[in-house]
Amino acid sequence: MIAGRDTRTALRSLVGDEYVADDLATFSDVHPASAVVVAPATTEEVQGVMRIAVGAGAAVVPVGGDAAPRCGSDDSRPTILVSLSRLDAIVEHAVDDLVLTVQPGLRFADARDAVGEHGQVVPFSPPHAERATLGGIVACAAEGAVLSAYGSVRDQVLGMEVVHGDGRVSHSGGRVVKNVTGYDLCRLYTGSHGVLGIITELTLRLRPDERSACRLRWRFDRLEDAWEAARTLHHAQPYLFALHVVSSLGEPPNAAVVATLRGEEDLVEALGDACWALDLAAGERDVLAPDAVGEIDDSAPRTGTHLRLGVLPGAGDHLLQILRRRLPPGADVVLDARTGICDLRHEDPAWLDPVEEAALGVDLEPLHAQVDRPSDPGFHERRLALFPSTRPGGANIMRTLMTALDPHHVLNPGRYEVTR
Amino acid sequence: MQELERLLGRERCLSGPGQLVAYECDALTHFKSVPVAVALPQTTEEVQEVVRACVRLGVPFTPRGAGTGLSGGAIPAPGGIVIELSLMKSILVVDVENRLAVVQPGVVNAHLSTEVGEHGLAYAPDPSSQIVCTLGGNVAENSGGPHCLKHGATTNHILAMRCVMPDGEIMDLGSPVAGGSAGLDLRGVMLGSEGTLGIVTEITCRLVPMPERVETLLATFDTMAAACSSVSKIIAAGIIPSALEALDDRTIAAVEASVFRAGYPADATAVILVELDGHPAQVAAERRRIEAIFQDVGAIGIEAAKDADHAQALWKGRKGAFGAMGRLAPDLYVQDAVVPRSKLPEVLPRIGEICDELGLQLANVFHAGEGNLHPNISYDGRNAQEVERVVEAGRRIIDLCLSVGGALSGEHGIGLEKQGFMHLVFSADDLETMSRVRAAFNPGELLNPGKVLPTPGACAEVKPLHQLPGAPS
Amino acid sequence: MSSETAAYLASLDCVHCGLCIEHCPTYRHLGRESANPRGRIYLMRAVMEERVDASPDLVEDLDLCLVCRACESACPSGVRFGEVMAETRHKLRQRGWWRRHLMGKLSNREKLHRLAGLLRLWQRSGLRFVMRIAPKRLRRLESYLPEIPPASERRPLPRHLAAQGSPRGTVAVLEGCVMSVLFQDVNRDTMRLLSAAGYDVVVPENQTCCGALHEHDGDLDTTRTLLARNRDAFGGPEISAIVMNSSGCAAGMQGATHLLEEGGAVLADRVVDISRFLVDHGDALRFAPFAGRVTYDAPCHLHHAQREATAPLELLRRVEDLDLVPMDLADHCCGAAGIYNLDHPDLSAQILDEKLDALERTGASTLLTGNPGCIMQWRTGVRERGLAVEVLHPATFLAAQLAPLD
Repeated sequence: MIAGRDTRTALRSLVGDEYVADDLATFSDVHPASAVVVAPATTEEVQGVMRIAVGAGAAVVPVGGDAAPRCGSDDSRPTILVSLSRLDAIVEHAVDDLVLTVQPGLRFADARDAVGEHGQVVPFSPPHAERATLGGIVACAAEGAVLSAYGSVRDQVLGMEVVHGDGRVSHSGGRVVKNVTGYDLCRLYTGSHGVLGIITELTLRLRPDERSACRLRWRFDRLEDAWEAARTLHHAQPYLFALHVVSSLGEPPNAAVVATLRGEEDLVEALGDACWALDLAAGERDVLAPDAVGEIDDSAPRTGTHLRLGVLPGAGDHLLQILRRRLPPGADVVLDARTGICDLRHEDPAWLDPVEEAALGVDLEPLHAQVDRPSDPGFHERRLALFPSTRPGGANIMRTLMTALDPHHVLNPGRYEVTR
Repeated sequence: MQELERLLGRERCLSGPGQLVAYECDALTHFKSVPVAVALPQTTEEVQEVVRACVRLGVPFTPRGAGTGLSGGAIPAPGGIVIELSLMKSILVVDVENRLAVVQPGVVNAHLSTEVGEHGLAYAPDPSSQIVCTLGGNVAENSGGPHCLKHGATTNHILAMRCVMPDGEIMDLGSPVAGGSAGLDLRGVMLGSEGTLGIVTEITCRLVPMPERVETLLATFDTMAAACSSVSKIIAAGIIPSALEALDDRTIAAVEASVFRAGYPADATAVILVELDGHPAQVAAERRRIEAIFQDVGAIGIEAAKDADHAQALWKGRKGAFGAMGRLAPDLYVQDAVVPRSKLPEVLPRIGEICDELGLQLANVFHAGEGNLHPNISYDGRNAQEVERVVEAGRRIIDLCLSVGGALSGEHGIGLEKQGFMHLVFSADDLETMSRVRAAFNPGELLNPGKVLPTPGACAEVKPLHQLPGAPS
Repeated sequence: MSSETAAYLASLDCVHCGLCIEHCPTYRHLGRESANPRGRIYLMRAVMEERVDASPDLVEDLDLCLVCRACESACPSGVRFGEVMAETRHKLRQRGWWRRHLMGKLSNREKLHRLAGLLRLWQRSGLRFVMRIAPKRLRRLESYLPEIPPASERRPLPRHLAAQGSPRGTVAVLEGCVMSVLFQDVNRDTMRLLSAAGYDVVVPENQTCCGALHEHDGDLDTTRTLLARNRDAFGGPEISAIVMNSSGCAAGMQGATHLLEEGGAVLADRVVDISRFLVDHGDALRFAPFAGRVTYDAPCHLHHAQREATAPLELLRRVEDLDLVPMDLADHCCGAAGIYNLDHPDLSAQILDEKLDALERTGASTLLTGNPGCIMQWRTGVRERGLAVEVLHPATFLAAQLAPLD
């Protein structure tokens, strides 16, 4: 349902005519969507949008780079898409402190380039790295290949400003790297998919760029052999930056292990020698440029399905076996051997069903999933079926929290339908 | 009381007036409130029963670990009981393959590392009180420690937990799987909530492999400003040591007079203690770069620990420093504030000036690499005038740290101590949000009431007078 | 009560950091604040400030303290816990809030020797089965007593034993109360070792009980009287050292420094444990090799009170082939703590249990520990658990390894 005329008028007078549209693509290179789109430029304007939405009984869905699925929107209500594309400034880059404060619409790629000039990195590796915004990455807790080296997205967030569903703005954390002043709401907001508020500013921890990097790849005929090799590497070489099993499930299946090495030149050289010296019973092996294997960092297809499963790292082989047995050919698998996060991708949108069934059939608790399949209306119900680890008690508290910070239920309704 | 005795038996339910007095404070000794009883449960279910009894009777309850907290978080509410978790000290699971352990909250931090050491693993966060403080307490306070610089604080190492919620319900939060569980990160907000959102009764911790190489360096300086500028430069150069600590001359003197004497140079005005860990090649390269920085800023001596025993002695000295300050005066006020690391050379001399102006004895020992300051002010709590000056110094130090973009607490928490300062960093709306979050977990506020957030009606301006340990009560 | 006594001032050194608490055996088992050093100091200070009454539960938790003084080794502020506890117990005793038994009997060696004769008769009478129905405390007491040696072994020590070879000096030994009844053989071995090291050994007349148990019990008046008598008895200028084989007695005598107004240091400063003395002056000793696994348990009053952690081990390492394995918790109290095992049999047994587990893990067939109370406690535990471990005083062990002089 599209928001009515009054809502549009109110939004226009708030942010100016040119920043209200019917198509998200007006403000960014993203999919068209059938909703009124508003692009506020300040925290106060975001607050204003929220109040208008409350008055109009509309739903508010924040959108960054549209790199994550906009799932869960409730079609029965008018929806205001809030594009954060104009809130894209670097507020402060405290270079010597390795701390970056930004507005949420800043693209990861732009932030990466800006801090890169100072030999620093933003410690994320999100899917769709070129379009993802920092606010979006944080709101979705979009983990990536750097997880085992740098920690999770939550670990990088030092402070936040958030506009809640009732239009109030509140802050948590700060701009220093260690802080226990008050409740750690930054962690709560990270990965909350906008149901508690719209992020309007965030402060992140940066990392020094490693001085040297490379990737080693071993190829295998059998997935099982690749897994064994990955575990051998995992135990023998604790200082790898990342370690993945990469495979296309097909006939015949191919599999590879990719080890990422980063650090001082001496380290990369020593680690490389040590890795090569291990007898991994591989077929071919080669050295890749640091960013060569794109699928590890960013390869989610714009169409099709992306399912993320998490298992305990030691259970990776069990997961791979089940997936191999039960999945139709054509799927791409990237398993982070150190964290147990497994990304499955397939061009065919109908592919979700067997994946989901397989995932549910895995008696490896706990596991979780993120599904990138924007156009499927029945999608969030099935997503919920993949959340066995959500205990009913936790759901009660989540619901109470959502009501406390979004009393009129305008924020991203349906995104977290925590009861079934 | 009778209810508790029925649940736990006489041995594990304390009601003697003397026994209760011992529970009137934690390591922050100024605030005092005697509980009406102390319960010592041994299982999650017993905690649940105790909580349910409290809810039924409307009695406030406060969990407590080893009582080493420095912000008064374990001090009971008037008319309330203490739930002492020291007897819940079993290590339930050690999963070597997945590098995790499940423990009860009363397990002592250092015991876990000892226990998993035979597998080449360790639990990384190492608060200075790690030989006694409990993991449950660490979770409640999101404790830091010297080695959190590289490896992260408690929150980065706790994967999941089982909690008894304020209504007595048992709940599992988080997940041992990377990326966490579905939905909102309740585990994340429970961490560091200072025992005000739930009582943690089982903790799933991440374990890390022991480093292949560890090198400990000690650099000596003739001014604290020079020492601090070496820290700022190391951070700005993009080196992340596993620990980067600073000690001044008064601290060194106190430590050297104690059982933790470590052989710190007696003639130094300040020393920087650095630890590097990791792959030998990485460590060697970082060491070269750090030594160059030390020389650059004019260190008068650079020394490397001879062996593991020597390194351990240096760390024992560092970690015993707080206790050793008891040698300087009967009472000790430990401030805990954070500044951006680039501001250290500017802030430290000004803290010295504040204490000089007020005629107070200051000793600095702190987590320099994170900008986490611990000015220690020694005083005699029986001298009311001196107490006032200590209060004033504490306040000025906080103002100073906040004025350069710092934070109120880096690791000790807000507790009862700093509620009155919360408004200096947070707006009314910020605090309102936090208060709503607390209400979502702890609606009746029977669990550890009156902590973290300012109590409505209490005027922040008059509170600080009562905010010191040892002030006349 | 006076608020400016030495003990009160000592209690002010505590900043409540809590680094001591895990070193406290009673806290490790009971888990309550009032049963750990920090809590006890806090309560003692509160009592001395008259902020709280000495309620029965408070007295009970002070009474539960082993006074093993492990907390002193852990304390970064150097709080003299033992002194604070002794003085507090003294004050409580003055007010009639503190009462203990058995003390009088032990301080009088003649009575003790008579009692020993009766007990030996009992042990040999065949009537011991009746203990099965005796009250627990009595049962514990009975099981804790070692076989009383025959009167011939309990006979007094010779007043003098000459040095072997050319004398290097004169040292004295304390005969002790319990030692002289139950461990006179250890006393004799001590004298043999000293003589073999080249020292004339004297056993001064008029010496008496060291007073440690009285101090432990807060009876400071008697402690002072006894210390003064020993100061005089051991006052001979030719005595260069008073060599001790009971670490509890040694620590007690060292307390003379602060307890005696006059000449306390003269007594205290010459007190030295046999292990330290022989490390420093026993270079003439030669030991025969010993092929066996041995472990060492540090008596609290040697390790924590005298701060002597290394000498016994250094000395033992001089025995060739000896497989000396460290024991977990070796610096923790075994639960003997004077007569603690009689007053608090349950807790004492719990504390010992943990230690017995540690002993079993070493796989040693000999356990050495240099204090009579600890030896009795260990022997009881080892017997009840049915372990094939011999518990000996290091002096006994070393004297047996003495190689004849060339």
